[in-house]
Amino acid sequence: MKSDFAIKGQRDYLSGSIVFDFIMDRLRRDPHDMDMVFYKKTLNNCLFTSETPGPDTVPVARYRDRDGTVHVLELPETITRRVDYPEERMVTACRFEGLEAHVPAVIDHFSFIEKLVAAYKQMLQTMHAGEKHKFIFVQLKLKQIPAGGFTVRHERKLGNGFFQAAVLDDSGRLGTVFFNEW
Amino acid sequence: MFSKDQFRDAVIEGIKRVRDVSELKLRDDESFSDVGLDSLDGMNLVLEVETILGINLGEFDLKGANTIDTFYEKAKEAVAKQS
Repeated sequence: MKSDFAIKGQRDYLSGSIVFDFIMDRLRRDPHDMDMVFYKKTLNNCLFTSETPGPDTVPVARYRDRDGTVHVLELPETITRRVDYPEERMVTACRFEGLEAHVPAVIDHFSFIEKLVAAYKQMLQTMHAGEKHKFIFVQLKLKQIPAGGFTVRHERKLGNGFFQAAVLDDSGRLGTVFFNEW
Repeated sequence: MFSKDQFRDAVIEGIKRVRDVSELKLRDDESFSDVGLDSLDGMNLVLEVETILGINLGEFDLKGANTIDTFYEKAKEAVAKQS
Protein backbone atom coordinates (compact mmCIF):
# COMPACT_ATOMS: atom_id res chain seq x y z
CA MET A 1 0.00 0.00 0.00
CA LYS A 2 1.33 3.43 -0.96
CA SER A 3 0.94 6.60 1.07
CA ASP A 4 -0.13 10.09 0.05
CA PHE A 5 1.23 11.97 3.03
CA ALA A 6 1.35 15.65 3.93
CA ILE A 7 4.19 17.08 6.00
CA LYS A 8 3.18 18.51 9.36
CA GLY A 9 3.80 22.23 9.78
CA GLN A 10 7.25 23.40 8.69
CA ARG A 11 9.06 20.16 9.49
CA ASP A 12 11.83 19.02 7.16
CA TYR A 13 11.02 15.33 7.60
CA LEU A 14 8.07 12.95 7.58
CA SER A 15 6.86 12.68 11.18
CA GLY A 16 6.90 9.24 12.73
CA SER A 17 3.42 9.86 14.08
CA ILE A 18 2.07 10.11 10.51
CA VAL A 19 3.57 6.73 9.65
CA PHE A 20 2.26 5.13 12.84
CA ASP A 21 -1.24 6.54 12.34
CA PHE A 22 -1.28 5.32 8.72
CA ILE A 23 -0.67 1.77 9.95
CA MET A 24 -3.28 2.11 12.70
CA ASP A 25 -5.88 3.56 10.33
CA ARG A 26 -5.31 1.38 7.27
CA LEU A 27 -3.60 -1.84 8.30
CA ARG A 28 -4.53 -2.70 11.88
CA ARG A 29 -7.85 -3.00 13.68
CA ASP A 30 -6.92 -4.13 17.20
CA PRO A 31 -3.14 -3.98 17.56
CA HIS A 32 -1.35 -5.63 20.48
CA ASP A 33 2.32 -5.90 21.43
CA MET A 34 3.46 -3.25 19.00
CA ASP A 35 7.08 -2.40 18.26
CA MET A 36 7.64 0.46 15.82
CA VAL A 37 11.17 1.56 14.92
CA PHE A 38 12.28 4.42 12.67
CA TYR A 39 15.59 4.02 10.85
CA LYS A 40 15.93 7.11 8.70
CA LYS A 41 14.45 10.50 7.92
CA THR A 42 12.55 10.97 4.70
CA LEU A 43 10.52 13.61 2.90
CA ASN A 44 9.11 11.07 0.48
CA ASN A 45 5.98 9.01 0.31
CA CYS A 46 6.28 5.41 1.44
CA LEU A 47 5.34 1.89 0.51
CA PHE A 48 3.88 -0.28 3.29
CA THR A 49 4.60 -3.96 2.72
CA SER A 50 4.89 -7.23 4.59
CA GLU A 51 7.69 -8.34 2.28
CA THR A 52 11.11 -8.18 3.89
CA PRO A 53 13.35 -5.72 2.02
CA GLY A 54 16.69 -6.79 0.60
CA PRO A 55 19.84 -6.50 2.71
CA ASP A 56 20.94 -3.31 0.92
CA THR A 57 17.68 -1.47 1.58
CA VAL A 58 17.44 0.75 4.65
CA PRO A 59 13.74 1.05 5.44
CA VAL A 60 12.17 4.22 6.79
CA ALA A 61 10.59 2.18 9.56
CA ARG A 62 9.53 -1.25 10.66
CA TYR A 63 6.33 -2.06 12.55
CA ARG A 64 5.74 -5.37 14.31
CA ASP A 65 2.87 -6.74 16.36
CA ARG A 66 1.04 -10.03 17.00
CA ASP A 67 -0.31 -9.97 13.45
CA GLY A 68 3.04 -9.65 11.71
CA THR A 69 5.49 -7.13 10.34
CA VAL A 70 5.02 -4.07 8.15
CA HIS A 71 8.11 -2.66 6.43
CA VAL A 72 7.94 1.01 5.49
CA LEU A 73 10.04 1.75 2.41
CA GLU A 74 10.88 5.07 0.82
CA LEU A 75 9.32 5.80 -2.58
CA PRO A 76 10.90 8.20 -5.10
CA GLU A 77 8.08 10.79 -4.91
CA THR A 78 8.79 13.72 -2.61
CA ILE A 79 5.87 14.85 -0.47
CA THR A 80 4.75 18.29 -1.57
CA ARG A 81 1.63 18.85 0.53
CA ARG A 82 1.82 20.44 3.94
CA VAL A 83 -0.81 20.70 6.68
CA ASP A 84 -1.13 23.03 9.63
CA TYR A 85 -0.09 21.27 12.82
CA PRO A 86 -0.82 23.19 16.03
CA GLU A 87 1.23 20.96 18.32
CA GLU A 88 1.13 23.61 21.05
CA ARG A 89 -2.58 22.90 21.53
CA MET A 90 -1.70 19.42 22.79
CA VAL A 91 1.07 20.75 25.02
CA THR A 92 -1.31 23.26 26.55
CA ALA A 93 -3.87 20.53 27.28
CA CYS A 94 -1.33 18.31 29.08
CA ARG A 95 -0.46 18.65 32.76
CA PHE A 96 3.30 18.52 33.43
CA GLU A 97 4.51 17.51 36.89
CA GLY A 98 8.24 16.91 37.32
CA LEU A 99 9.20 13.94 35.18
CA GLU A 100 5.60 13.17 34.21
CA ALA A 101 3.12 14.49 31.70
CA HIS A 102 -0.55 13.68 32.16
CA VAL A 103 -2.29 13.53 28.81
CA PRO A 104 -6.08 13.79 28.60
CA ALA A 105 -8.14 11.25 26.67
CA VAL A 106 -9.29 13.76 24.08
CA ILE A 107 -7.49 16.80 22.72
CA ASP A 108 -9.30 18.05 19.64
CA HIS A 109 -8.86 15.50 16.83
CA PHE A 110 -5.31 14.51 17.76
CA SER A 111 -4.38 10.82 17.82
CA PHE A 112 -2.77 8.87 20.65
CA ILE A 113 0.66 8.96 19.04
CA GLU A 114 0.44 12.69 18.27
CA LYS A 115 -0.36 13.39 21.91
CA LEU A 116 2.39 11.08 23.17
CA VAL A 117 5.03 12.63 20.90
CA ALA A 118 3.98 16.20 21.72
CA ALA A 119 4.01 15.54 25.47
CA TYR A 120 7.39 13.80 25.66
CA LYS A 121 9.02 16.24 23.24
CA GLN A 122 7.86 19.10 25.44
CA MET A 123 9.30 17.37 28.52
CA LEU A 124 12.67 16.85 26.81
CA GLN A 125 12.77 20.42 25.54
CA THR A 126 12.06 21.69 29.05
CA MET A 127 14.75 19.43 30.51
CA HIS A 128 17.23 20.71 27.92
CA ALA A 129 16.15 24.35 27.83
CA GLY A 130 18.73 26.55 26.16
CA GLU A 131 20.26 23.68 24.16
CA LYS A 132 19.87 23.55 20.41
CA HIS A 133 18.65 19.99 20.14
CA LYS A 134 15.76 18.58 18.18
CA PHE A 135 14.06 15.59 19.75
CA ILE A 136 12.74 12.98 17.37
CA PHE A 137 10.44 10.02 18.05
CA VAL A 138 12.39 6.89 17.07
CA GLN A 139 10.77 3.86 18.71
CA LEU A 140 7.62 2.71 20.48
CA LYS A 141 7.04 -0.57 22.28
CA LEU A 142 3.45 -0.79 23.43
CA LYS A 143 1.13 -3.55 24.65
CA GLN A 144 -1.94 -1.67 23.47
CA ILE A 145 -3.14 1.84 22.80
CA PRO A 146 -4.69 3.37 25.93
CA ALA A 147 -8.45 3.74 25.77
CA GLY A 148 -8.44 7.01 27.70
CA GLY A 149 -5.96 9.43 29.19
CA PHE A 150 -2.42 8.33 29.89
CA THR A 151 0.81 9.39 31.56
CA VAL A 152 4.28 9.77 30.04
CA ARG A 153 7.05 9.32 32.61
CA HIS A 154 10.63 10.17 31.68
CA GLU A 155 12.88 7.33 32.82
CA ARG A 156 16.42 7.81 31.60
CA LYS A 157 18.94 8.97 29.08
CA LEU A 158 20.68 6.20 27.19
CA GLY A 159 23.82 6.44 25.05
CA ASN A 160 24.02 8.15 21.66
CA GLY A 161 21.39 10.74 22.54
CA PHE A 162 18.52 8.34 23.20
CA PHE A 163 15.86 9.05 25.82
CA GLN A 164 13.39 6.60 27.34
CA ALA A 165 9.96 7.21 28.83
CA ALA A 166 7.26 4.90 30.15
CA VAL A 167 3.68 5.07 28.90
CA LEU A 168 1.18 4.31 31.65
CA ASP A 169 -2.55 4.34 32.22
CA ASP A 170 -4.81 3.29 35.11
CA SER A 171 -4.03 -0.39 34.44
CA GLY A 172 -0.27 0.14 34.78
CA ARG A 173 2.62 0.25 32.35
CA LEU A 174 1.62 -0.04 28.71
CA GLY A 175 5.01 0.34 27.15
CA THR A 176 8.01 2.49 26.39
CA VAL A 177 8.73 5.32 23.98
CA PHE A 178 12.18 6.37 22.79
CA PHE A 179 13.37 9.67 21.37
CA ASN A 180 16.71 10.65 19.89
CA GLU A 181 18.35 14.08 19.94
CA TRP A 182 19.58 15.52 16.64
CA MET B 1 25.65 -10.32 39.99
CA PHE B 2 26.04 -12.16 36.70
CA SER B 3 28.99 -14.16 35.46
CA LYS B 4 30.91 -13.41 32.28
CA ASP B 5 29.40 -16.54 30.69
CA GLN B 6 25.86 -15.44 31.58
CA PHE B 7 26.58 -11.98 30.26
CA ARG B 8 28.05 -13.29 27.01
CA ASP B 9 24.99 -15.52 26.47
CA ALA B 10 22.69 -12.55 27.14
CA VAL B 11 24.54 -10.33 24.67
CA ILE B 12 24.50 -12.99 21.96
CA GLU B 13 20.79 -13.65 22.52
CA GLY B 14 20.13 -9.91 22.63
CA ILE B 15 21.87 -9.29 19.32
CA LYS B 16 19.95 -12.17 17.74
CA ARG B 17 16.67 -10.59 18.86
CA VAL B 18 17.68 -7.09 17.77
CA ARG B 19 18.96 -8.23 14.38
CA ASP B 20 16.23 -10.87 14.00
CA VAL B 21 18.73 -13.62 13.15
CA SER B 22 18.90 -17.19 14.40
CA GLU B 23 22.67 -17.68 14.26
CA LEU B 24 25.42 -15.37 15.45
CA LYS B 25 29.13 -15.74 16.07
CA LEU B 26 30.89 -12.98 17.98
CA ARG B 27 34.22 -13.05 19.78
CA ASP B 28 34.47 -11.31 23.13
CA ASP B 29 36.77 -8.67 21.63
CA GLU B 30 34.87 -8.17 18.38
CA SER B 31 32.99 -4.90 17.84
CA PHE B 32 29.19 -4.98 17.75
CA SER B 33 29.35 -2.90 14.59
CA ASP B 34 31.08 -5.86 12.92
CA VAL B 35 27.79 -7.75 13.16
CA GLY B 36 25.83 -4.80 11.84
CA LEU B 37 24.63 -3.03 14.99
CA ASP B 38 23.98 0.70 14.61
CA SER B 39 23.26 3.16 17.43
CA LEU B 40 19.55 2.33 17.60
CA ASP B 41 20.35 -1.39 17.65
CA GLY B 42 22.84 -0.67 20.43
CA MET B 43 20.16 0.97 22.53
CA ASN B 44 17.89 -2.03 21.96
CA LEU B 45 20.73 -4.39 22.87
CA VAL B 46 21.03 -2.67 26.25
CA LEU B 47 17.27 -3.17 26.78
CA GLU B 48 17.44 -6.84 25.75
CA VAL B 49 20.39 -7.57 28.04
CA GLU B 50 18.56 -5.89 30.93
CA THR B 51 15.48 -8.02 30.26
CA ILE B 52 17.37 -11.29 29.84
CA LEU B 53 19.49 -10.83 32.98
CA GLY B 54 16.81 -9.02 35.01
CA ILE B 55 19.08 -6.07 35.71
CA ASN B 56 18.84 -2.30 35.50
CA LEU B 57 21.78 -0.52 33.92
CA GLY B 58 20.36 2.95 34.59
CA GLU B 59 21.53 5.80 32.36
CA PHE B 60 23.78 3.49 30.38
CA ASP B 61 25.89 4.58 27.43
CA LEU B 62 27.20 1.84 25.15
CA LYS B 63 29.92 4.24 23.98
CA GLY B 64 33.28 2.70 24.80
CA ALA B 65 31.55 -0.61 25.47
CA ASN B 66 31.09 -1.97 21.98
CA THR B 67 32.47 -5.46 22.59
CA ILE B 68 31.35 -8.20 24.96
CA ASP B 69 34.51 -7.63 27.03
CA THR B 70 34.03 -3.89 27.45
CA PHE B 71 30.23 -4.07 27.75
CA TYR B 72 30.63 -6.63 30.56
CA GLU B 73 33.02 -4.43 32.54
CA LYS B 74 30.88 -1.34 32.12
CA ALA B 75 27.67 -3.25 32.96
CA LYS B 76 29.19 -4.58 36.20
CA GLU B 77 30.02 -1.02 37.24
CA ALA B 78 26.56 0.20 36.28
CA VAL B 79 24.77 -2.52 38.26
CA ALA B 80 26.98 -1.86 41.28
CA LYS B 81 26.10 1.83 41.05
CA GLN B 82 22.38 1.02 40.86
CA SER B 83 22.38 -1.18 43.98
